[in-house]
Amino acid sequence: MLTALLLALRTLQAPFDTTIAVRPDTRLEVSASSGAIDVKVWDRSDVRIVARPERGAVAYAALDGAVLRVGARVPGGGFDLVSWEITVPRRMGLTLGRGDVDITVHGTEGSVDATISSGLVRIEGGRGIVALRSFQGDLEVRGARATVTAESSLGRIFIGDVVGDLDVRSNSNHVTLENIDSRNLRAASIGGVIRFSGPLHPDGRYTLTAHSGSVWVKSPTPINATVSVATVSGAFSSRLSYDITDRRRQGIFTARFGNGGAQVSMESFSGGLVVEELKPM
Amino acid sequence: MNDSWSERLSEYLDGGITGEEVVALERHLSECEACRTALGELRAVRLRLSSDSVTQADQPTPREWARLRRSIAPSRRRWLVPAILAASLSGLVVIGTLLRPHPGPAEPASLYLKASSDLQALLRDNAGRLRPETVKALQESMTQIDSAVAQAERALRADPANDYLTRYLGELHQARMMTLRQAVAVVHLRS
Repeated sequence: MLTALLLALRTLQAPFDTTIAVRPDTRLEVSASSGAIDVKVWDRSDVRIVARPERGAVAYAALDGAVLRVGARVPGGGFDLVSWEITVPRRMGLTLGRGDVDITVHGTEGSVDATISSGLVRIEGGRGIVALRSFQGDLEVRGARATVTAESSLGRIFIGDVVGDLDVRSNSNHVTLENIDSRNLRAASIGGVIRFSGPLHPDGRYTLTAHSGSVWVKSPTPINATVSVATVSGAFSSRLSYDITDRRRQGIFTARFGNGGAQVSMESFSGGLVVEELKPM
Repeated sequence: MNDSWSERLSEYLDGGITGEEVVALERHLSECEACRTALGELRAVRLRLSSDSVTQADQPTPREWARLRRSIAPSRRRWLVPAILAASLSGLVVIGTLLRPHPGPAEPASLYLKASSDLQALLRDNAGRLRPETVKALQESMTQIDSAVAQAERALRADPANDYLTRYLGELHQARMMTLRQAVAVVHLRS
């Protein structure tokens, strides 16, 4: 049963500032057509919402069961433009988006689901599942301990210092996966370069696919991996020692590093495929 | 789902929790719907990540096929509104169709081409709803993808038994549909 509580409505352009007590399982959903959403965390069981609406937008926050819905309406219709600054319990789950919005989340220990058409999504932290989607905007995740999915048609993707499974695709831009500790990883790009650095676990499976861009894998030595290579007009390269164990046709073969533990697939239609040592910082 | 077990579901799937903790976690799962849902989502993601092939769950149901057929009915006007709603579905259906070993109940290739060209027509008709820079970036991206598709098709013609190229071509079509689908979603957002 819908038990919406309309907590505050303000007149045109007036600042909006409200604090709402929430349950531990309450999820925050912020819907914005344009503007910015900045989320910080604290060790309280309240959510503080500060909004600076423009273009006549009227901000609202409504508790609907286990969901705290936050957004803005424009009387007479149109796109809302609001800068949101929201402080949430550290572990609160977040659903953020959806239009031309810059989203920044600092230090969350909850799950995050963010969707934009353009702008920038930058997440620090995250637990459980972090799922990001954009049409045109760049996506960044740092410090998550989570299963991370990131999908952008045109934007760049950067994932750093993450422990967990990854599924990442940018059609037209670069994908950078830096200091990743993962056992299930898939990354793809058509127009960009894919860079991965991190350990290759013996029970891990890593699939990196590019078209015109190169695929770089950097991992601490000794590298123990079975690398399935596929290319049409590109080339495979590594200064490390490896054996070719299965050459089925031109450009398709298996390179075995060490005891061959990790399963790695590296593909690029016309780019380079490179395995390198990741040297300690 | 804000409890101590929620953070350990990945560990549980990895087999990293043993003994009494497993018993305690499974007892908790029997009582906590949020954790059960999260565990199901994690399992689904892992299944997708660890599988090279399309699973049964990825295949369209008869009801979805019916929706897709309606969505690509001959009249453009009839198609426009349901197309937006069905855009994400059609992407899944087409991708599943391209990758499945046996053809579905319709003609997969022509179905894909029709859905793809109709999505493009929809975007052309609604280009005014997108920013000029977005239209430009979209055009560049589609050119890039189409060029990649053409290259892969040429290479596959020269080497028809190349499994990599066959699979890769499917992935390119998937990427193409993803871009079109997302562009349609942006148009929808601005409508």
